Amino acid sequence: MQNEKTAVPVLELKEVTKTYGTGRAAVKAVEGVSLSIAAGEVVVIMGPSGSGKTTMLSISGALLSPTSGSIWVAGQEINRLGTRELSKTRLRHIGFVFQSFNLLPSLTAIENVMVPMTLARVPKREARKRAENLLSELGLGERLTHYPSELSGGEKQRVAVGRSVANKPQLILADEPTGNLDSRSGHFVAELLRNIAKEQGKGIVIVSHDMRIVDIADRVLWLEDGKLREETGDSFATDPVCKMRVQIADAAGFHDYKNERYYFDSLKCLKQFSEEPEKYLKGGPVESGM
Amino acid sequence: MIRFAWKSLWLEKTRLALSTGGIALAILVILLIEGVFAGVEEQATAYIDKGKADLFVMQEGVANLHMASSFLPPAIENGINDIEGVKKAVGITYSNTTAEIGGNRIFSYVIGFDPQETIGGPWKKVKGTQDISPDEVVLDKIIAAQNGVGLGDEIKVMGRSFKIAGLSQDTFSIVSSITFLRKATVAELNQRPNSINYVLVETEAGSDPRSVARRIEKRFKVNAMTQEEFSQSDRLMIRKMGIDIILAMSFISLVIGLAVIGMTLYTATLDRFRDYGVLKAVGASRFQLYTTVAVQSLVTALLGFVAGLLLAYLSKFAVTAIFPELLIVLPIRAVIEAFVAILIISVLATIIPVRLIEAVDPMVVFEGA
Repeated sequence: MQNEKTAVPVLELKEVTKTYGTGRAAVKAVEGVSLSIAAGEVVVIMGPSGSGKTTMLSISGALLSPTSGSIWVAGQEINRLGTRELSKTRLRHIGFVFQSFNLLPSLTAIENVMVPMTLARVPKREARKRAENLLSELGLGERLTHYPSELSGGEKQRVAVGRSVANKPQLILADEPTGNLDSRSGHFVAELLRNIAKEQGKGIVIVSHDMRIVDIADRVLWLEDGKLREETGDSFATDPVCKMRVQIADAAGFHDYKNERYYFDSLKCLKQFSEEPEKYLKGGPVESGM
Repeated sequence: MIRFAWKSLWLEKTRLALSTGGIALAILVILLIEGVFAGVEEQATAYIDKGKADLFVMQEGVANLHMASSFLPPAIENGINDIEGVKKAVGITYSNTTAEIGGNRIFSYVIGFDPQETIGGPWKKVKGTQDISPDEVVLDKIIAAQNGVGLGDEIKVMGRSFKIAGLSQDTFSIVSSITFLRKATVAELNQRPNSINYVLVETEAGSDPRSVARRIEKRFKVNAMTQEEFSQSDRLMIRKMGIDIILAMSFISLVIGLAVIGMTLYTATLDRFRDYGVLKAVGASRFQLYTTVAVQSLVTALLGFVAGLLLAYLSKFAVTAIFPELLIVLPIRAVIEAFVAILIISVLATIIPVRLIEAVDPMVVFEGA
């Protein structure tokens, strides 16, 4: 870890501000954000809708220019680059994972994974072999020639993850990667991203509302009104009824019992707990915090 | 990316069929109107184009058959026959007039010909006879059918009655059909019994009609034009007259058709906007995006073009079967022009959406399903 910290960050934002509109109609979507992501690090950015998460991800992914500040990807300042160089940066250094998968529906799973390699002019045979290996590692070895319409949500997202790492980028940006997945698939994809970060040394930034994903994060950041702050372990608790991770500030409610405060994901959980607290505290109260 | 472009195109067959169908219909309209226009021109100059004459000799200063008057002395016919390179020179008489047929007044070119000669008269087999007497007429068969007359019936030409002895083919025109009388009869009707109006010249094999024309003009004070020159001159005259409307229709149909094609391709491209947005996010260069969109537009356009061309040829036969008076000609020139136009439109319909994709809002790829 020490080496990773002294190495060049895979992503660095310095005092980045993005303003939409001008004059009195100007809205600061992101304001003075600074952030550094090291290789092998998983950072989750959370925040309410409209807080600037997507804007920040777009800027980090060289899809949107900031109004001010600078962005460094793999040691290169990208906000001074032209369109062509930005495309190359996205192609070589950044992988994207989207909430709605965004696979190309006319291409099979293996062809979707081959797309970034084709764009990067990797020889076809090599690209096919690499895509085949990637999908096999992702547990999709039997689904290579299936079209997206023939895959489940979890399978689609695994293909999307395969596509994101196809060109061996240092940075992966994921927008709500578990947002459209059931609990099991969501957990699988979250673990997959963590493994990729740890085993392949990639920096991963995940924007999400999904509390389950906090478990895989090295750091959790909170973006609100365009400003970023680091969350501490005290910001979270586990709902003793449904065992969901709850952000204390966003909890549906709390219940004090035997000098402990418990936070709940929903009012239903709160009600159930209030009626029979001991039932949910067998083996002692559930530890609050991360 | 070509593979993606190709597969993406065929993924949604209904959309492809609609795009191709829209383009095919636009091509059909363009080619049919162009075909009608070309047909009208061909019908209007049929007498010049279909007969065997290589040269047409007329009064000096005259350059047309349509809406023109030319008078020549009868002796000139023999004089031209003596010129080097002339195989045969035959005089005809001629008038632009109206004929009363079945109670209707029909505008007509009245040609006075010599039934014994091989040029000057009907060029296709006539139903009945073309060896007519001074009181007989050869009438176009479509005009006859349209006006409810047939062989043995009478029509009036320049106030005089004639019995229909023959029905000619390929002599109909919506501009002016051709009616054949004997040469001397037309001269009498023109009240110039000893004159001829044009001389039709067949040239010797191997001789250059243009050189022969120059020799005729050198010897006599006349205008001698080759078949191509005379035909072109009449087509120009016809365009300057009422056919401008058809030309305007043809132009408008071309513009509307091309606009339909452009909109179809533009819409088809926008329908795949999200896919292009994904490609852009993943790192596709501007060139790669252009190539992808261009392949899809061009394949769609070419499929539509081929389908439109087939439809146009099928419609040509269907329309002429229903409306025999309409001649639809699909000249190669019009087909090539439509092809080039569609290529240009395809490129334009590619450039505009790709420019939009270049400025794609990142939300396109980040927004949830």
